Amino acid sequence: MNSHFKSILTRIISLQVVAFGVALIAVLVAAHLLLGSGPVRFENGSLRAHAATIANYLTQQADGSLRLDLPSDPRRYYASGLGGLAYAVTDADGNVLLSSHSNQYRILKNGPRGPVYFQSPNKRKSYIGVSIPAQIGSRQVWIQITRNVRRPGLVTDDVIIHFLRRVGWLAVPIILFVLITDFFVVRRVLRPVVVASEQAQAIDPRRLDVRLSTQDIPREVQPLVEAVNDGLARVEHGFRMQRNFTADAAHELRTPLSVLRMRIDNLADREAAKALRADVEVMSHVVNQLLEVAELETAVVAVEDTADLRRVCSEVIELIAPVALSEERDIALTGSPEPVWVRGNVPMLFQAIRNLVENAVKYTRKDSTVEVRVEPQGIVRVLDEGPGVSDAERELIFQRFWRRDHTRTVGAGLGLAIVARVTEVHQGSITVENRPTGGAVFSLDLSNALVG
Amino acid sequence: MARLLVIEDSEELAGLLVEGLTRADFVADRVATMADARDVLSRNQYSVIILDLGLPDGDASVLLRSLRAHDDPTPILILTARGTIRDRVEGLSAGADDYLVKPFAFEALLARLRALLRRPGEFLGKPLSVGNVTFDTAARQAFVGGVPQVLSAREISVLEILIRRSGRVVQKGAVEDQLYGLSGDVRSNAVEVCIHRLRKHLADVGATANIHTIRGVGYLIRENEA
Repeated sequence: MNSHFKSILTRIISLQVVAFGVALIAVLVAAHLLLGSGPVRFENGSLRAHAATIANYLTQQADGSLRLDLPSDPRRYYASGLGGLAYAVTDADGNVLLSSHSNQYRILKNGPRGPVYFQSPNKRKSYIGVSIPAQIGSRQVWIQITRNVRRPGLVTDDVIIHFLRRVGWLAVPIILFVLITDFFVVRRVLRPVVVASEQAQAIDPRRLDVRLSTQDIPREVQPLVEAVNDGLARVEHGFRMQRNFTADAAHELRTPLSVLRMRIDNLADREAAKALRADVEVMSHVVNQLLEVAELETAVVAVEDTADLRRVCSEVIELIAPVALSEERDIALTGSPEPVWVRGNVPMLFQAIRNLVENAVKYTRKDSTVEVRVEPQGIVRVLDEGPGVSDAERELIFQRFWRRDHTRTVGAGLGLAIVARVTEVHQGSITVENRPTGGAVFSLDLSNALVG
Repeated sequence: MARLLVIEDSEELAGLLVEGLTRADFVADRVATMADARDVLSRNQYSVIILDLGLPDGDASVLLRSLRAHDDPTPILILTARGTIRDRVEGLSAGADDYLVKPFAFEALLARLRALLRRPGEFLGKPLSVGNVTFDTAARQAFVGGVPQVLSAREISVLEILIRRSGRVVQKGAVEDQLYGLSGDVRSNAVEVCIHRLRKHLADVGATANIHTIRGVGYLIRENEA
């Protein structure tokens, strides 16, 4: 059932259809049993009454013969055909003494005994009848009454057939009405649940204070809504903790570094100042990367955020080109001359691409060019002419704090981990391959986020 | 002499800032809270406000917004530990003129302050230089090693825009705009041709600065490595 009937509405309606079906069958069976036996009893009673009437009007003549003086009213019943009724009065041997039919109509061939009800075994000429004994004067006789069931006037089958044809069909519009009512009732009852779902849909990490409304929510659904709200509260708390931590850590780390930096700038010894300044730069870089990693833990791409990959790459290159030129490396932007729009957060993508390009500039050989290629299907490739990345390193380099050379103290080994995290947030992929001509290609694939 | 207001709660950093600014011929007042800042601002006029966002009595972007809401045009430079990109965007959209993340080079702060203090007219007449190439913006005349150079009007225009942003990349589109304004008469290789001529000219006369092409992005002029 679960796989076929997803909505509460279809489940209720389908279950109700089944229930109606079962009820209808039950009612029919019950009607058959009740009405089927009722008319028979009624019929038997009626036959007995007819027999009693006959007995009432039977008298014994002086010669011992029997005489029937039926008043006109009961006599009509035995007029030809009416009600299909017939009577016969027999002696104990079954000889017909009197009969409603002139031809000495014999009802039962073998003399019947006792009060008995019978049905003809003959399907073609089916009748039901009764045979009861009566003492008329000194004579013991049997009065037999039959009714031809082929004739109209019989109630039994009529009742059942009428029930089916009239009452039975009446059930169909009733069922339809109930089902249609169901549709509106269920819709109305579930309306608060739909409202809560819409509220849930609007939840965004930037608006974590949203809670689902419990107003008018059916009691059965209330625990679910409350559980969701509790979950949201915990998530909000977690997010706030993380964000506060990031902000506090930033303040606590950067302010002393600023003081240190200012003191170094004030030093008289220019040579010592230069070396110390470089140390502060390294520390600041590590702090910045750590804070970025912390910030990215709670980062999300808002639905309305869009970024032109070409423009982001161009801005990254503008930033890094002077540094690269100083280190005798060149940078070029190639690929799509048109904007390449993706669903994405510009500052985050900037950071990721910046890290890739800085990495490439660091590893590419002197006098070579780092190429940043923006492909129209939403892929950014950064190609360098460095030593490339060995198979063993291919996965490792995206892990936090991984460094190729641990004796170098520059950097925290977080640059590519930040790239990986930004990629993850954008539901993209980041891969690295070696170029046939030497060097590495980092491919940031955001084709899933391509807009338009 | 420009008067600055430093709103910074770290005693040490504020002290060093005021000290450095004084040495750089600024007059700097210092407060540590938003309440004090409001008080001081109601009585004095400042040329630039240096604002730390995280203050003991709250987020200083509130102060920033209220100043801007009252049409206070004083340039505001945010100086903050909050380096996240989101903070940066929020700070600038709240009405800050510039944004500097701690830790910063004091020279960078001074440069930003001077930029904020600079009136548009002050650009004119100041000779710009890179290496032994100088450019007199008033006379629109370039010199290499003190020798006046004969350049076409287009070459002058391109050299000016590059030298104004020496050491930084100038987008190719910006160079095209400079060359043709809004006339729209841009042949696809016109900028390349002009840059090529200019580069050759500078090399021929022994300039110690060179124009670099950043393919797909733009150009920059910088002093040659020694």
